[in-house]
Amino acid sequence: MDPADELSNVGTRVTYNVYDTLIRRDFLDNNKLVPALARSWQRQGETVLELKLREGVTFHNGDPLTAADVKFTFDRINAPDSTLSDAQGYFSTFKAVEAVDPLTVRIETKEPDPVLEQRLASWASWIVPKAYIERVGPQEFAQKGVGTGPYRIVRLAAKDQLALERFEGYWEEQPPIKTLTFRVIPENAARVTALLNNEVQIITNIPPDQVRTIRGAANVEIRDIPLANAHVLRYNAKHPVLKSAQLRQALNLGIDRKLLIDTLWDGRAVQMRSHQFAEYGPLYNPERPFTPYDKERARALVRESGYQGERITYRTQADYYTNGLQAGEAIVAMWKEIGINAEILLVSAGDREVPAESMVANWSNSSVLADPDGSPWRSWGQESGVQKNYWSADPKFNELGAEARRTLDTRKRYDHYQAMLDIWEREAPGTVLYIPVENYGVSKDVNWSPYPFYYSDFRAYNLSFK
Amino acid sequence: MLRFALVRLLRGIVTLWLVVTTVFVVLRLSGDPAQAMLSDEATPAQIENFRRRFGLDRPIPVQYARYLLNLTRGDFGDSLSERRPVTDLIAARVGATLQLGATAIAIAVLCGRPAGILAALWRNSLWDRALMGLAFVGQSAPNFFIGIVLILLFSLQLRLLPSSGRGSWQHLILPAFTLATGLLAALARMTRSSLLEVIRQDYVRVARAKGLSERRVIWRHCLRNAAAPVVTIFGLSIGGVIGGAAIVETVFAWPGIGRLAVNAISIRDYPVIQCIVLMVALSVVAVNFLVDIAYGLLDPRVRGS
Amino acid sequence: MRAENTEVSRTVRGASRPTAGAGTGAGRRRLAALGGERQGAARRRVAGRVSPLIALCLLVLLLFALCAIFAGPLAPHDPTAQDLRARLRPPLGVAGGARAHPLGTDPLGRDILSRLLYGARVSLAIGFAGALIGLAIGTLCGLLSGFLRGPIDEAIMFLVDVFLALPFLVLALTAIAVFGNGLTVLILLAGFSGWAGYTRLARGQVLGVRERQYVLAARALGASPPRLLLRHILPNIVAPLIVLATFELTSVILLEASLSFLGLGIRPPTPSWGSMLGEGRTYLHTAWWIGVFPGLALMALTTAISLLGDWLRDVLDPTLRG
Repeated sequence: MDPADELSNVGTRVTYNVYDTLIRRDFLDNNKLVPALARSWQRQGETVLELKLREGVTFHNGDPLTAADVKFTFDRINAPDSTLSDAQGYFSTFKAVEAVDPLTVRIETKEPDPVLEQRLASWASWIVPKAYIERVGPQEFAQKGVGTGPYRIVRLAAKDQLALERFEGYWEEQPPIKTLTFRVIPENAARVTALLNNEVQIITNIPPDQVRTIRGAANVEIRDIPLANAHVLRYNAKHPVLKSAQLRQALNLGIDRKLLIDTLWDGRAVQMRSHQFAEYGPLYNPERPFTPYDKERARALVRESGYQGERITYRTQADYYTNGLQAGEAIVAMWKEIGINAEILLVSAGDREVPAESMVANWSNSSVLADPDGSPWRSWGQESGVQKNYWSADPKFNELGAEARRTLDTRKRYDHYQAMLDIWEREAPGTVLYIPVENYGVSKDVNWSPYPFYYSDFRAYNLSFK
Repeated sequence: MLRFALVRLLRGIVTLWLVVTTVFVVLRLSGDPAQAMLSDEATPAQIENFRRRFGLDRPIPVQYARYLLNLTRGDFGDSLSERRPVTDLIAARVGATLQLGATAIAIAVLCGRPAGILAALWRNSLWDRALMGLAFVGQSAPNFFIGIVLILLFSLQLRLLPSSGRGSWQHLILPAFTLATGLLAALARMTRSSLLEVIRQDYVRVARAKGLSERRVIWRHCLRNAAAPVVTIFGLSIGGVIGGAAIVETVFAWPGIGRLAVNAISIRDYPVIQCIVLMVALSVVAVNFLVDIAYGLLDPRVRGS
Repeated sequence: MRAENTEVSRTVRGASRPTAGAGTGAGRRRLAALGGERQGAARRRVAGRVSPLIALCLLVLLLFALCAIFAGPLAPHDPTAQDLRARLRPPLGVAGGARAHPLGTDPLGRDILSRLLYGARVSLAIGFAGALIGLAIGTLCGLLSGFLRGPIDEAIMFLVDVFLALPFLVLALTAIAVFGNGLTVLILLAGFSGWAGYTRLARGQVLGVRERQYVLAARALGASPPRLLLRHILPNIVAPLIVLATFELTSVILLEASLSFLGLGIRPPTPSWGSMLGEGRTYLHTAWWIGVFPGLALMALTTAISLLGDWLRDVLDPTLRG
């Protein structure tokens, strides 16, 4: 349970309760940034942020939290020989982290970083104990993590049944439960039954078609939330068959997203205005049109592109993304109608994608920063895996993106991101499908709200009983 | 006798060696685990680190030799995904599967045999038809389907039993019964038909002529033959139980090695798969060895072969 | 009396399985002992009458075979054609059902009846091809093993031991991970799942037959070994093998369903009963028809084959002719 290593949907569900960040994104209050381990913070010039740590915070093993731990947290991720490859991308703007005194940290970035505070409230920024990790080593730490959060890991157990215990020394209000157990129940029928039987109080990942089973029950209810995440497709623009931007545009125009939303999602997934999330605030363009569907235009583009009917594979796992396979099968059928010879390539979790062979793959982009720098930039930008393997982007796209992330001027950033989206749509290295809705089934007597990430927060402010 | 035992032992060891080799070769065919384990964003240096950490940077023959050598020292390697010894992972779960499997076999024997006997005693009655009909259903429906139907019936509708997970003895009932269905049905059918054959045999007719009731004859026959097959069935069911457990443990979220195997395969965690296969093979070979030795001790003719 | 005869269900599979894991000398002796028992009992059995139940089984099998062959003209729709706006329609007779889709539609609005008809193809193909491949490999190995004896026998029986020591489902999953989930791979896997059982049975039968008078006579007359095997031995051992094949058929069809459950069955959008059942299981509460129809078809098929196997066993037992 290393919080910088467990960045998956499943991992963060647990780690969010074991570790704290310096700053907290308040999901219950419009994504406002509020103090957590840092009592306060202040910009000092364009590239430096100074944070004052809260006093009297201790890790689960009794060590007090100091600035050295904060420095260690980020240095560990950014070290050249770090194995925390997924976490590195979140802090690539950092130049140095400095412990000024035991309770003061100064973070310096290479360029002005407009979303630095967001980064400290986001993924992989959970503070870990320096002394403990140095003593036991990263492997032992991965087995038995120690954080400052409201729950501690009691024993080393199988990953599919993990019990956390309340940490009595927590700096904030104590949650009302003594133990918190996460269970993996892969089979839908068993999971829903466990909830209806009150064997568990909260379940997640209820397929949209199964929501009805729970709606009728007396003791439980559905709590759903659109995620801060977009289901997307990624094309391999370097593949000989998909080289033509016209063909890729045709693929985009050939998908009836509204139909997918209305049917597979029962109308509850959210249409997107290109690759934008409303939570960007001033950086969101509410006038930008929805990603269009135009079968005739798509057919014409397919003809113009010189496509010869080569087989195009659509890569998906059977049950990774909600509706992932069903949407894939539906999209393949839609593409057939515009003259594309597409088929599903079903893979399992360990099947590595070979960049040279990959054609179309489903994927999701989490809006990790409530800012375009989180997504699309993190997912499609210069340092992304996409540009490494699948897309030689117009240099203008990368110039705009690089400049937008070192500018503190919101207006300029807005213009840049809009221009980048124009390029992204024209070059069509992929497309957005929709923002999915996550369905939780919850006992009616549990006051608890889901978040738009897979984080499950069981801190006192988000958990009580009727 | 000693020579006989030694030959059998050697045979067993060679069997295990072949099993290990087959699995090693098949798994290596499927590509580079470093690629499967690390994310898209892993740098070449990180992939290199990973390879070195798990000894994947060496040539395949060297990997193979090292693997065998480590096996003889009881070292089965580290899980690629959890980065700790696979024996730890398996040790944490093997109890759950043994409990499930043993209960399932017990249920199969304790229900299957009496059901077969009753059906034979009351042959052609409504009971016979009902029991044998059930046996056919048990053998012809996929395990996962039976499991889900049982959950919907006994947990959801009747609220009698917990739906999933491991805990009290009640948690054990549904998964163990689901796992038992196939074997139970086969046993019931086998018992019934072998008894019917006995009934038709001459000595039974004689016994009947002497005034012994059919029931007594059958009971005697059953008691005589009840013990032996149970031992054999237990030995043979190990492989099947692991296979069945992969399904049943997934349906009921039972934390055993069947599920571990399914997960390990889907994420290509080779050392885990290798170890599980080897353990199953080891159990099968060990049981056979013991049975052979027992037969050898009991029946001198066997030793000659 | 007649019903009893047809329902006698000491299966070949049941009789061969208890010795299955013990391929050692002692194990083979145990097998021989069981064989002797069977022959004695079987001689007293009346065979060859077709009860209504068996007639029904034959009818079911014939019906499914016809469905598979004439799926094209019979199916009202293309089995892969989607209509998202008509998804999850209930079958005819249930409120909301329509004549266009007599058995309803699946989550992508595909016609269940059409998928069921085409699915019969895949399920029967995997079942029959798998059982036949296993039968062919196993019979060959068993013949060689029992006829030639010596080191070849040892080697083959040793391989049988190795195979039986492996957890097959785990191996099958691994093989699919490596080679993909095409129909060919599934059929080959299905074929391999049962070869050891056939080998054992064939070998035991050969050992029983090879010292019989007519074989000894043919050998004395100078018949070549291949001729001996094909003309004199094979015909006399084929019956129990065919019976075993009927039971393997069932388990192979169920194997495909299990693989589908684990997400590793036949590749979409091709329908098979196993994959339809695998998908339908999630919908048992909300749209039961997706899983129930293929489930019923699957169970009818496997039950019919099992009953036929039992019956065949009684009819074909070679000891009745010997």
